[in-house]
Amino acid sequence: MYLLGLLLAGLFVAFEVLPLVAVCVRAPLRMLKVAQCCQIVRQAMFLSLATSLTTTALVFIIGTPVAYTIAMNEFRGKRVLEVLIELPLTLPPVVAGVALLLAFGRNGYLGKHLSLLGFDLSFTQGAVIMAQFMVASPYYVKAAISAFQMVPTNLLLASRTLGAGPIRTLFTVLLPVCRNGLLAGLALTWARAVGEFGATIMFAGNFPGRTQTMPLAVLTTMQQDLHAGFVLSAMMLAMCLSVFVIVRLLLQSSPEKGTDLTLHG
Amino acid sequence: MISIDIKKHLRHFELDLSIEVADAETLTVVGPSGCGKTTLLNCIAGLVAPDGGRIQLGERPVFDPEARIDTPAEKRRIGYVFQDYALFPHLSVFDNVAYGLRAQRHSRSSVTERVERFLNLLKLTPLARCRPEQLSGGEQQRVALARALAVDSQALLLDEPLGALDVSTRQHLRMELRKLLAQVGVSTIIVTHDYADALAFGGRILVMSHGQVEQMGTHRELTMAPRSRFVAELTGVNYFEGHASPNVERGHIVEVGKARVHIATDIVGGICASLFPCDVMLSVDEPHTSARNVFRGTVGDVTQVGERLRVRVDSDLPLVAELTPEAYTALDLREGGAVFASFKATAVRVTSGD
Repeated sequence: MYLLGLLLAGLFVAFEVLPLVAVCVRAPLRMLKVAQCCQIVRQAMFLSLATSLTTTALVFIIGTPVAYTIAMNEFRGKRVLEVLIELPLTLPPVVAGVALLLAFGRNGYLGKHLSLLGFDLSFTQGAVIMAQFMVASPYYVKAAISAFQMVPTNLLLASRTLGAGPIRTLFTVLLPVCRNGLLAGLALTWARAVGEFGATIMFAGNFPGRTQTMPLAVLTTMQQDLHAGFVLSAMMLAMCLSVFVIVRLLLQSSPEKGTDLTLHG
Repeated sequence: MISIDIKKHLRHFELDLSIEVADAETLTVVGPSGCGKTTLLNCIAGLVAPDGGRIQLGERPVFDPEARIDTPAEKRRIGYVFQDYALFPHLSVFDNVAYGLRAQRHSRSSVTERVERFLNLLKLTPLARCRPEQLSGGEQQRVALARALAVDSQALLLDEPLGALDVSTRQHLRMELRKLLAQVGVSTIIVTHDYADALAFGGRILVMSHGQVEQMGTHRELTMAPRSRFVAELTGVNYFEGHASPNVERGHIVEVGKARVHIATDIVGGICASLFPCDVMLSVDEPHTSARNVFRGTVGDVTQVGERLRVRVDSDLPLVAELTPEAYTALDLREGGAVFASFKATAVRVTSGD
């Protein structure tokens, strides 16, 4: 049984790792020196990092209170709310993009009124962030809800009896205790945001320097120059792996054991 | 002083209590799990709102709906040691104890000074840098106590303080805790399901069941005159209710079911009576002593309580006798075997049933 399991695990890992190795091997990194390729990479890389980090920050700021409210209270419609929050996970990203376009696009339900006020969201960096937010935020909110629910209520009550109000308790007990769970959720959200393709191309378009993030750049370059596409893929892989390693180290360095970084997305 | 007079509707019964705990007094609340003990503490600490009543700390009311007072938990200054200790896992022992002082914005030097004082008092100084998960149960309990005491609480609440500990450390820590509470001199309410804890803490004992006071008093008062079977069983004395009537000879007789018990007082009518297990003598042959009450029965189950054995005797009057293991062996008793249980009429303490 043990050997069979080990064999399966080996096959499983090989299936996942082999393509990654192939990307690295086939990418002619000297092409990075070619001016045109370099420019695309630079723009797309910067845009990807900027938008995905902004999205992650927004998800943290907005998602944390939402998750806290859901985790700590019992109210009518709580289950419905939870399902609605998770809904984008089941949605094909392309459909999410179409939906965003219909809602916030120039002729969308809300977009119509917004463009009258002078806001035009579609095909901007704001749109890139919105697309990423819609697709990636559920990962964090889900992780945060379960992290908050795992905290023993007595810890929060003890903090209150020691003279700390609810806000202080939030910052000195709840968030530090949930640190690992929240960090893991944020990592998932970031990974999903940086790799976001379908919703972005639908809602934000594919304009180099404006809305063309790394995944879109990979597709576009591939269509013109296969090898340049490989290079871009390799670059993106390097970026994601380094962030993954950093987060893992952060989680390991934290004093308490507990939630592990599990990428189930 | 803490004075409490609260009502709170719980799922199966109503919590309805009126208690006063004097300065530096320790009151132990004993009752089975689910009788509302923890809810009582939560009401006092301000974590649960009672439906009505009044809670006052010294001269300061902290809950009084008529005066629209319901001080939030963080402003009550009541130390609370939770059953699972609820130590902050991400903080060291030092930071756990410092937590309340920092929340109350003490100066840095005053925090250090007070934390060190309480770590020292509870013999925790060498563990200051440890995390809670590295500590034993007893050490965790001391940290929780230090943390609750460091904030200069006006009252202290302990929820099953010995419940999470193994039996061998329990007995030792009971004594430690009693000494410590005497030392800090804060009004304290301890909640436990184990009467042995209450006995060890020494002070007044409140027996609680279904949210009500069953009886309140010292251990001596509870055992001398248990007011109900519940209290008697908890404190471990024999208890029976019956009808007393004058006897032709001397003394009176109580009829308890089929059994007739001689008593030395001349009360008539419905009575409750109690009898210490150590006053019940056992013998295999019919005893020829001055004891007026002799019951023939069989040996039921035998349990060890401290150094002694408690033997249940199934007879017309169900009895529990207490004797040393040596006596048990010497008498050659075995479970299910025949036995005579005898006790003097003067050993029976009678209170009027009304």
